[in-house]
Amino acid sequence: MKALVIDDERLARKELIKLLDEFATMNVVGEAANADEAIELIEKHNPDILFLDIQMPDKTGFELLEMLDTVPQVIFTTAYDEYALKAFEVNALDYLLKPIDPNRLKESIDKLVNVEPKPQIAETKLLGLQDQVFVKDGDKCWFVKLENVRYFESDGNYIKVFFDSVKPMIHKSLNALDEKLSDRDFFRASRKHIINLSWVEDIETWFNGGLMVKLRGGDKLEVSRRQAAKFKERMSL
Amino acid sequence: MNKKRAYWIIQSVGWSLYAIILLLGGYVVSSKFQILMAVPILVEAAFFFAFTHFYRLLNNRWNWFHLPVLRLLPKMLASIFIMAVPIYFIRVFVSYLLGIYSSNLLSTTNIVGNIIGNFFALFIWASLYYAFHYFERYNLSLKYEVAMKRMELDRLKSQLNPHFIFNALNSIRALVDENPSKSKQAINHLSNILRSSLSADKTELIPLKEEMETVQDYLAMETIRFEERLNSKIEVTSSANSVLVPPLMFQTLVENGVKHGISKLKKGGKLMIDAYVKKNYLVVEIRNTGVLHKNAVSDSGYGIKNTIQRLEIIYKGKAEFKISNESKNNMVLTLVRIPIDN
Repeated sequence: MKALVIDDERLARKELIKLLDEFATMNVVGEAANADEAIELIEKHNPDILFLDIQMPDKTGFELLEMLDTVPQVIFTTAYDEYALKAFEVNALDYLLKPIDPNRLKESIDKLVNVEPKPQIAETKLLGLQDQVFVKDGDKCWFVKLENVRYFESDGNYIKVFFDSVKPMIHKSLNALDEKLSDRDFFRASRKHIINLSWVEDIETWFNGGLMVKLRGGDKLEVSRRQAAKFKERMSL
Repeated sequence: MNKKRAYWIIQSVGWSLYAIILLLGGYVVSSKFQILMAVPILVEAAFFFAFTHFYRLLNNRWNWFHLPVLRLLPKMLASIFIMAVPIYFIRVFVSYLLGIYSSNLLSTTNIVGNIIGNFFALFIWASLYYAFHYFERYNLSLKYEVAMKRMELDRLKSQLNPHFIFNALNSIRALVDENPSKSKQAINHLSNILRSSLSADKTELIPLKEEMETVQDYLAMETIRFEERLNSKIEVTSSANSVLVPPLMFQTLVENGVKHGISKLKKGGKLMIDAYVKKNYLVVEIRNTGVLHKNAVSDSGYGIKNTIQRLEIIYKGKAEFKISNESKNNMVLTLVRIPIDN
């Protein structure tokens, strides 16, 4: 697995890289001292796993994740930061406390989902169901696999992301999001909604030539007349 | 409530009551009311007012409050006796001026009786005055104790910042491979800091020199961690070295500067400490690269608020604390002025 180590302290990076040397499966492809350096390296190497310090100058580890369209697996490293880690309520999140205990590091690495090795160069590929995104709303954070997102709803300058029993808001436009999502998995139902096609359970005809889509779990969303034709074509109705 | 105002109100009301009681007493005894008879009593009350006020001024000037009770008592009794005597003769003199003088005013019984009466009035005044004072001092010491307790708790949380300790240990772990002799030094720095933090609970004040040694260990430790991002300089004049200061106070302020200033900057910055004596005050200036945000003081939690409280309690309003931006060099200045006790 390609790993990237991100920490503002040189000695802390050095120590972690030395610890990672012991693991044959771990291939450290780079180290970054701040979020901007990290973004560059992520684009260049497309790593599978980030070892990420939370407190860094300029941008915190969280802010770095917010800048990424899709996030790889993340293990946070921190000296003592209960407060920051409390942000994650729902998701299982892994973190290591510095100074890092080698046995504890082994556990974390064993837990990592072994993903298919990614291509060396990150293609400008669209986000599919298996991609993971980082969502932060106020003090709370989530790692969400897109397959768990039922639909997106635009709300002013924000988008509500519906998954599990929550609907955190992210600051983004629905158009910009639509461009990044793969057409195979997601469909722009109307000005207001993008739905996850894998959640569609039932479709009914609606007024004015529109459609009403029922999702697993009971959500009902309208497909506008303009989009209905496209939708029918897609779903081969 | 404002202490000064309270004093003036109690002083005026008290002596007015005294005059009213004497007037009523005279009325009951002679069952008639004469303006002329009232004047000497009012003049007398005014002198009580003035004499006791003067007594209070001398009391403050000579610091009688700090005397133990057994040494205070004879001084107090002598003083009120000295006041009791002339007050009676003033009444006699005023009566004489008004033409209501009668010779029995100077009879031994009258003189002795009235002087004893005056003495008791003054004795009650002085007793109340000292009682108020001791009550207040007791209150203040209770407050001090509560604040000390909170500071002790706080020290465990913020002054001995766990974040700092674990990051320091992490640096040391890396240094063991990279530079073993430096890692040994680092262990000494960290031990020194832990030791002074443990002994800080036991002492109220330590010489600035000792405090600055802790600060030096702290900065050495942080320099290992932040490397070229942290540049620090300490300048303490020899006269400042011996001034007594609250332990870990400056360490906390320096740590604030590192935490909120240097560590937030990619390129890091400078931290400079200057300590000197000026006009009977110890002045400590801590400058760090960075910008102080509007709500920094209230948001920084206990660090700054605690320091302000601690200074207030220990130096009773005579110390000064200030944190501000120095726009000319992009630095944040933390300034502390502490009075030097001779």
